[in-house]
Amino acid sequence: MSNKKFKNIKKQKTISIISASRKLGVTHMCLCLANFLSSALKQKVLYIELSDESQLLGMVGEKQITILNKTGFFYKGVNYILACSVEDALSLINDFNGYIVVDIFKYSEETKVIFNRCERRIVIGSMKPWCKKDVYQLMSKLKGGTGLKNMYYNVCNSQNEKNDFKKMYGCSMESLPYIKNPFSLKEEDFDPLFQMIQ
Amino acid sequence: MIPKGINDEYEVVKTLRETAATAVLLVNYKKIGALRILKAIHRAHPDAHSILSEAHLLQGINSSQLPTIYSVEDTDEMYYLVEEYVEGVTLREYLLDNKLSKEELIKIAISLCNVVEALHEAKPEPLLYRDMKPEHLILQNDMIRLIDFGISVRKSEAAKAKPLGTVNWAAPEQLTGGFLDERCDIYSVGKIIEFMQINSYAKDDLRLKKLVNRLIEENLDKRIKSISTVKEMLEEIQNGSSNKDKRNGHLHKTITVVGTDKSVGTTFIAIKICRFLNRKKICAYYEDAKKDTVHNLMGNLKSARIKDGVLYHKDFKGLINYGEAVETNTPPTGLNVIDCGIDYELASEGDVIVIVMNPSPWHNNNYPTWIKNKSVHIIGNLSSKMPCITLAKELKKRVYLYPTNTGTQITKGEERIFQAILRNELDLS
Repeated sequence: MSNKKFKNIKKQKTISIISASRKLGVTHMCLCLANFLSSALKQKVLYIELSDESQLLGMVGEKQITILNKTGFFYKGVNYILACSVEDALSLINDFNGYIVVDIFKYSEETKVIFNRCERRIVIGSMKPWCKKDVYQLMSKLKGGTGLKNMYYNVCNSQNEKNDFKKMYGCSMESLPYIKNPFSLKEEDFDPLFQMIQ
Repeated sequence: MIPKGINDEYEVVKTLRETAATAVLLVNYKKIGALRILKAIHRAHPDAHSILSEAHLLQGINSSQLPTIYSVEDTDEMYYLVEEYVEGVTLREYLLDNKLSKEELIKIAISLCNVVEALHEAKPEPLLYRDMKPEHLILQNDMIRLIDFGISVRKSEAAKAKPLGTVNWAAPEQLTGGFLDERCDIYSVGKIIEFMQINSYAKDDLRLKKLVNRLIEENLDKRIKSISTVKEMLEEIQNGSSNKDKRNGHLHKTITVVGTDKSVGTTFIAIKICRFLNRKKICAYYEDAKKDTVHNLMGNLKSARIKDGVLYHKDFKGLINYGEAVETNTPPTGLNVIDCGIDYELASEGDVIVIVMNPSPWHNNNYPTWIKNKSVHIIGNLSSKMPCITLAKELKKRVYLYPTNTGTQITKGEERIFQAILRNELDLS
């Protein structure tokens, strides 16, 4: 791997991921990004789990800390704020100095404020016939994907469909990288993760 | 409390310890006129079963360094156990009057490892001694014999065992009721070696000190795991050189570079040493133990390459210090140049130690106690000749004056210094 990508890494950025359908791996991908930023790029990272209930407490909740007057957790170099409300997330985005990865459980009128605040917005969708509808519905909610650079999908599809999508929404479709364990990344995982954050 | 009914067989010679419910007696076994130890405990005593368990624990362990148990008997009132009387002086008594040589110290330490090894390799499962202290080690010439198994436990029962032990000798996890395995005895062996070293002529021996530090490490993960490894390391010290080094030449050696203060050029010199060695076709890897130097280089070097956790650039090879969430790579085989910042303790682990300092009079330089050791080399950086000469006189040791205004290339002056430092250590020609 060349070291070119390690140059010019910003010290601060907000990244958020949403998905068109459920169980497409939003949390998995957010964890990959947060751990990559922290362990591979040595950046200060805050992970915000934007949902009513926490799914990660059992995994990352061993060491409790305080982050900007809020109770959080620290695990393998990443700071976590779990089961975070929209108001708290907004104030953290305003005040935290470093990378922020927002795991948005559900895209709604409330959470869209957070999504729109992020500099890097990622949508995960599936182009399986029974999920396609969800993708197009979400894209219309996002007003044609304004501001999205790439859309990630986790099922391989034809080149024609990719081209049509690019024409229609102005953002490209990329394959979702397969990363086995977000807490044990490999060097070969770095390239696709770099692409996702840039 | 002397048990009734023993007078037919035993004659009490001396009461060694006595309480209301327990007694330890030196007795004469009348039939053959031999001295033995009789331990008695009242049936109602909460630890009454300990006498039985002591006998059970030692059953089947084959070592001449453990006392022989002759019998376990009971009367209406009490249990008593008769075991071999181990003659000799305790280690503490011996060290009150004697100072050990390094050879003696290592012989005793190896003997101690042998007996602990016998306990840890006991069948059907290891036995944890848990009560190692100089009073329980009886010296017979250079052989150690271990006595008093009152709080010893089988490994599987260690989790339920009471947090007993002697403060200053027992491992911290043992006293606080933490997780117990063979490493609790390894900690105590380290404390015994440390105790012997303080009372020996090898007080300043760096290799022994390093070994002790690894044995009495409070962090369980960092402590040496097996007593056999400790024994091997002691044997290596005894033989004067490491077998590993003999097998692999300089490939497994470690050069540690440490500064007496911040901003004295430690990182610069460590990187230059690494590049110098690679130019000499000696595979050397730079590692910063304290900071993310290699990470910073990753973003700043032109046309560098990253593979398996190593940054390659011209003559430079640096080990990347990824965080916990990146899979760890097997360290490559080669010589390690470790930049220790200002951490003397870490630097003392190296086979070759380079101390970088600014000997100018206005600089506050705190030297480690082992600075005069043979494997330690001093470089005076960012300074003129006179302060280096003064320092050399003060330390009675050679101080290399590092050339100023050096760029990224290795100059002849730098090459001469590295060559002089590493010639004897790495057989550089």
